[in-house]
Amino acid sequence: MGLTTSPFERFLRWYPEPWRARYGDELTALLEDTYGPEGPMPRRARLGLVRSGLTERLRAAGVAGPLPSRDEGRRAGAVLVLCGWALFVVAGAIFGKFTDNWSKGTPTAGRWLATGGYRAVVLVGLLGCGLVIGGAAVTLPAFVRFVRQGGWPAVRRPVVRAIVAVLAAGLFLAGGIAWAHRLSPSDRNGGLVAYSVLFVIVSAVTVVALGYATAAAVVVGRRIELSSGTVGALTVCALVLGGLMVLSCVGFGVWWGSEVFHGADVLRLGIGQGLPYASGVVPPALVAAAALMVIGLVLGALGSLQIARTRNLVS
Amino acid sequence: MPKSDLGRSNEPPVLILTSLAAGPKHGYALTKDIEAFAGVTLGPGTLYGAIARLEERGFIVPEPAGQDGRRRPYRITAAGRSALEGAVRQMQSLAQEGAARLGLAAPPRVAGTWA
Repeated sequence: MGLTTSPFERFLRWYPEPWRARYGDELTALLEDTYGPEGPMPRRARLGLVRSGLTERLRAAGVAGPLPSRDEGRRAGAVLVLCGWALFVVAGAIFGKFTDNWSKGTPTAGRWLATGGYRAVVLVGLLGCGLVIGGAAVTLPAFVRFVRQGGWPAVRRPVVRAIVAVLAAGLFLAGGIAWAHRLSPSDRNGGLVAYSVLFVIVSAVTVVALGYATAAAVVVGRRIELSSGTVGALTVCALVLGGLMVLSCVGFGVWWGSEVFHGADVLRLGIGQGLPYASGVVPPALVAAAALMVIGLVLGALGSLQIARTRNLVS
Repeated sequence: MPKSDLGRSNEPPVLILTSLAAGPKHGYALTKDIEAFAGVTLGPGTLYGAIARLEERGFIVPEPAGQDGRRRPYRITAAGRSALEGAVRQMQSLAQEGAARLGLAAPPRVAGTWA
């Protein structure tokens, strides 16, 4: 980008960085020629820039447009699946909080199906997180090589931001858990206002940390040089992760469905009780978790499709 | 009918290549020229999206930018001319078919080697 500042340059933020570096100045010049140096730009043109910018981002992510190579396509697909999994982690955290002591509110006779669903969600969550950590470990040597070859400035900002956010979230979480162990279940579930406030803060910090960590993984994943073998391993991880997302949804649905029939009190007394749109069987917290899962599943499916598209390409 | 890989006649790639067939132009000049010959106003986002695609495919190449370094003209390449030729043939074939079915006089052929 040149040294000139233009009111139109903020619209360029919708475009991916390499695109801006190549066409940003030209597009800004065109906007100035068309609408004058200070604008204003009609709403239709603004929306057009947003749409085009997002399209370019999808192309840069490998979701749309031709794929440059098999490895690039696989890598882009794996990144999409990872983004979908990040949403599943948030959904899982909501589910985990909601289901705190759920079995105590469910009659023993009607508990077996819900227990199966619940355990499936927990197991899938652990396996998925293990896969993500394994994937990160596989790429670690390439990341170290990248940093040694002078690539650190290109990824410093998102990586440092992610590390700081994860450390902050860890501190908040540790403090919150230590406090929670000294409180009664009633205090932990809305009885103590200060704890509720802390819970909201911890949740927000954790979600932000997860978002930054995912963003850092995406930025690093796009820039480091990976061998075909490593990309292949990441592809397998991504496809398995996609399958785990499906299993998680099934477990979540089974638990919810079973509780509708056997543990309605658990659903009625969970997070969101008293909200105007809450009902005994459709608590807002579970709706939010389900919505995140659906979005995550869509991203996972897009990523898996992306990987499938690369079958006939050369590396 | 052979399918053009540039899309329909009113799609941005065809319009841009048609404009550049008369000589190199930068973004604003392209917009104005396309408005003049096709009556279509391409939004800035659409125009530069299409320019990026055409450049990727080697159908156009940038020329050295003007004095301010920001208004870069583009020139059509031989591959771009060939792709445009295919699109024009397809349009001509469609126009002839439509004219024949409507009983209108056939439109004049575009100069070239195609039948």
